[in-house]
Amino acid sequence: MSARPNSRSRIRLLAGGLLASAVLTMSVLAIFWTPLDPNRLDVLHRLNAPDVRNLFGTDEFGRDVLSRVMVGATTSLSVAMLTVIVAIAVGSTIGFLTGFFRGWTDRVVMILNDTLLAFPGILLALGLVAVTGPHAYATVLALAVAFTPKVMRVVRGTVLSLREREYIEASRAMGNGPLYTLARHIVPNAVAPIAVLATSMFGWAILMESALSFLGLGVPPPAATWGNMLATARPYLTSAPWLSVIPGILIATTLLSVNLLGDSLRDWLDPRM
Amino acid sequence: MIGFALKRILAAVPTILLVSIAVFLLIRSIPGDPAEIMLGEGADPASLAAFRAELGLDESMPVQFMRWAARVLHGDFGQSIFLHQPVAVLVWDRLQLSASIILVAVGIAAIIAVAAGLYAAWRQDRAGDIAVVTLATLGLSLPSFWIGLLLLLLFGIKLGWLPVVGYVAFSDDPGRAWQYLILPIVTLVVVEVGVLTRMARASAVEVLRLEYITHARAKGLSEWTVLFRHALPNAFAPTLTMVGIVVGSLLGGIAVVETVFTLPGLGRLIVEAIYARDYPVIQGCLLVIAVAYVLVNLVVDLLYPIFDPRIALE
Repeated sequence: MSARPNSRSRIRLLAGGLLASAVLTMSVLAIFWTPLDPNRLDVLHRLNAPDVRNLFGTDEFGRDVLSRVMVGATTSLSVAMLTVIVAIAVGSTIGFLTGFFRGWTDRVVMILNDTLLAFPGILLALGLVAVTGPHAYATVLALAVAFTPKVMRVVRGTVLSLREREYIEASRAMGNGPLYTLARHIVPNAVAPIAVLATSMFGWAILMESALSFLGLGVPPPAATWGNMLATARPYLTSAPWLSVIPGILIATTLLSVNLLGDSLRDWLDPRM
Repeated sequence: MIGFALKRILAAVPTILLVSIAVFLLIRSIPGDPAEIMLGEGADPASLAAFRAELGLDESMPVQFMRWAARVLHGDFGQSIFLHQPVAVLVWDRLQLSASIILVAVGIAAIIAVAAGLYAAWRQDRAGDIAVVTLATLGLSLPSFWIGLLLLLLFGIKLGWLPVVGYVAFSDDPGRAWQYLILPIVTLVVVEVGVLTRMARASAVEVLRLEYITHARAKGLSEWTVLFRHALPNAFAPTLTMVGIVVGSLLGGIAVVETVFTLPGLGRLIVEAIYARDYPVIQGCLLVIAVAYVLVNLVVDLLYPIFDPRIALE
């Protein structure tokens, strides 16, 4: 009975790790090499079904779908990575400082934070894109603004529970300054919840970026992303179904790997769950 | 209980106020003349001047906000620049379609999720549990627009059972309207059932470990009674909160599903308004969806004590 959850956890970690490394390898490889030029138009080979030359077929402009999903992986993963880095950096800095020092700044920041949390994340992103216009960096900004309040809340909550512990009092009693206590004793203990959150946020970022791009409000063409490839595939659902199937498989694979890795991380950090 | 309800309702008022200020400031942060932004570039000078006076552009920001809020409270959300209709009418029309799809889909998903979650928790770490968890994790990883496209490909094109493009309003022809609504609803169920099942399973696992369950079994109650009468109500409460979050995120996220199925809902309205820079419509949609989200969470909070009375006693 007790051996089973362990082996399940190991299978999850293994499967998640394999899928993640496959997607990661693909996206890194695409920086240096793709089978064909992802943006080269070839009217003679429009909407070709998958064959030896184009393993995943070609799109409505005769571009190689395999090469495009490869560069799409680079775009989607970089946008998601950047989003998570920005949201974690900004959100945890604010969360650590306000949670540790409290006071009226904390109250004001909390009110602002709760206001942002009152919007569904994707709606906040849509509203910001309405102001900035679609662009890769606008996507990062919009998603980071949507995610930061969540990070802030988790970090602040963790700090609030940690700062009442005895070892924090001990650190103060030893004459350590507040910033030293924060950096030396609180931050290291908040790393675990932040890591779990960062993993799930990476998945949300992939999903929301592809949704925004699918709506034509994320990364604009001709740059390839999985989302905007699916958007242009809709009219060719009958004549070229592979255009709708392949980018979706990649989004789903990436999300699955992130979810599996996230679950294993949670198991490892919080065995009670 | 009534005190608890009043407190929650009163707490929602400042949130709604702050959300409106955020929406107001967001649209005001667009560079350019606010009157021109709200009336469109082709507006004639006379109506621009009149609208500037109405916005009170020479007054302070708080006064401008109060004027805007007063109009909104009277149901005046402005006029759409491109659709030449009052924003309030547009938003209300589109909201009905989106809200019905979301509520039906989340309702079905919640029922499936609670049943599957309870079953999985009961069979914890056995084959049935592993199957449910694996399926739920898979479902969690599927983007709605992709599932939508695949369902269209299968049922619309390969099998030809359902129409691929278009929409018939429910009020015009209920029988045909369903043909257009089945696939969007199935899509949302598939996408949302995963996260709800995981939540339901996790809380059922917690509950089944508790002493009162052992006690109920020791009394000789049937497993059926133990699960449905004793475990289910307590296990359901956290799932209910998740249902609120899911409904809220769908209010924003339904745009992609409506795009796949060419449905004229609220999500589609906001996306088209963003393309057309139809700011009065964008503002109206943002405000209505955000307020709806606050209200959904309020309803969830008010329902919560029915399943978990301890909450109201705090």
